[in-house]
Amino acid sequence: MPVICAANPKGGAGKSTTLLTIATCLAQSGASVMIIDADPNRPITDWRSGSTALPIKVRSDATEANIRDLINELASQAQFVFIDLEGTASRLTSRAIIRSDLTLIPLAGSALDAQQAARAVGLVRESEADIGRKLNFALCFNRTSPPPFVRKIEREISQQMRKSGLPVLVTHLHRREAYNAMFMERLSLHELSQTAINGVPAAIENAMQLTSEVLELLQTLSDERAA
Amino acid sequence: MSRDFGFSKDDKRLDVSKFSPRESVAPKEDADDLGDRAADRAGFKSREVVERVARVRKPSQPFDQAFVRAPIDVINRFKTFCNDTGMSYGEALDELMRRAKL
Repeated sequence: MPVICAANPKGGAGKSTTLLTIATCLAQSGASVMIIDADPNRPITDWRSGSTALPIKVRSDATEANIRDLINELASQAQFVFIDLEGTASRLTSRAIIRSDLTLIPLAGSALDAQQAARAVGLVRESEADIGRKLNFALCFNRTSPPPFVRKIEREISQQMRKSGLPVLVTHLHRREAYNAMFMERLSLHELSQTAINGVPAAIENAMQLTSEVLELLQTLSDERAA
Repeated sequence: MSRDFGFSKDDKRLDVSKFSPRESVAPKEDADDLGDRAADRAGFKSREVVERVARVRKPSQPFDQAFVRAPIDVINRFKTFCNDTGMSYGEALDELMRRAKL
């Protein structure tokens, strides 16, 4: 059921990494997963061209004109549909957000990422006003250092968000070579060579924890809707 | 990574069984431009390249020209007719002659 998109108008905020990490963990757990790669750089399409054994289908033909039909088509076929959006403030982004069950707004712990993440939050709020119902979103940090090495600026951004009552995922995707290696080797975390790449088990644990938090959130949202 | 002796039964898979595909939505219930006004207000613009389509006119016969000298009232009435109908002078002449059964 769930359609999940990753949006942040800033490029390099970690949209594709966050999204692919969660998508591969779900596929690894036996879920049917499809990804709409709406980023013109096509990072997920490139990843799919590798030799991963995961049965994840990737569609790369999204445009403003067909995004609605594409989402509706795939959502009726797969348990989970992910949309990787481009790093610009585009209309395609708004059309995807409004049709998603959850919008993830990834950001690394930098001021520039946070500023643009705030724009994505602004778009969600404007869209809510238009359609007259709540749109669910969550900010999610990536490329952060695990405690106790949390940087001051990360802590500050995080505190500001919580103070403003914004939903922030507790689990951060930490800065790990394995996440880079997914795109480099075009494999999932579980398929990476643990001898060639440092810290794969720790990355898998981190990724599964994040995915499990997202699943719990989706379950809560689905229960809220049913109630 | 330390060797796994297989004592643990935990296969570390997530429970995804509660999620199933959506029922399909009729296009009528999901307007194409949903969210576009919000996008405009939030500064999210269309980024897609609009392709310029060249207009192709293929006449069935060669064109010729005629200079018309007539009282300004007649010319004004003719131009008004063209403005109102959106026809070119050539199309309007053809149309008026067709109506006059010429």
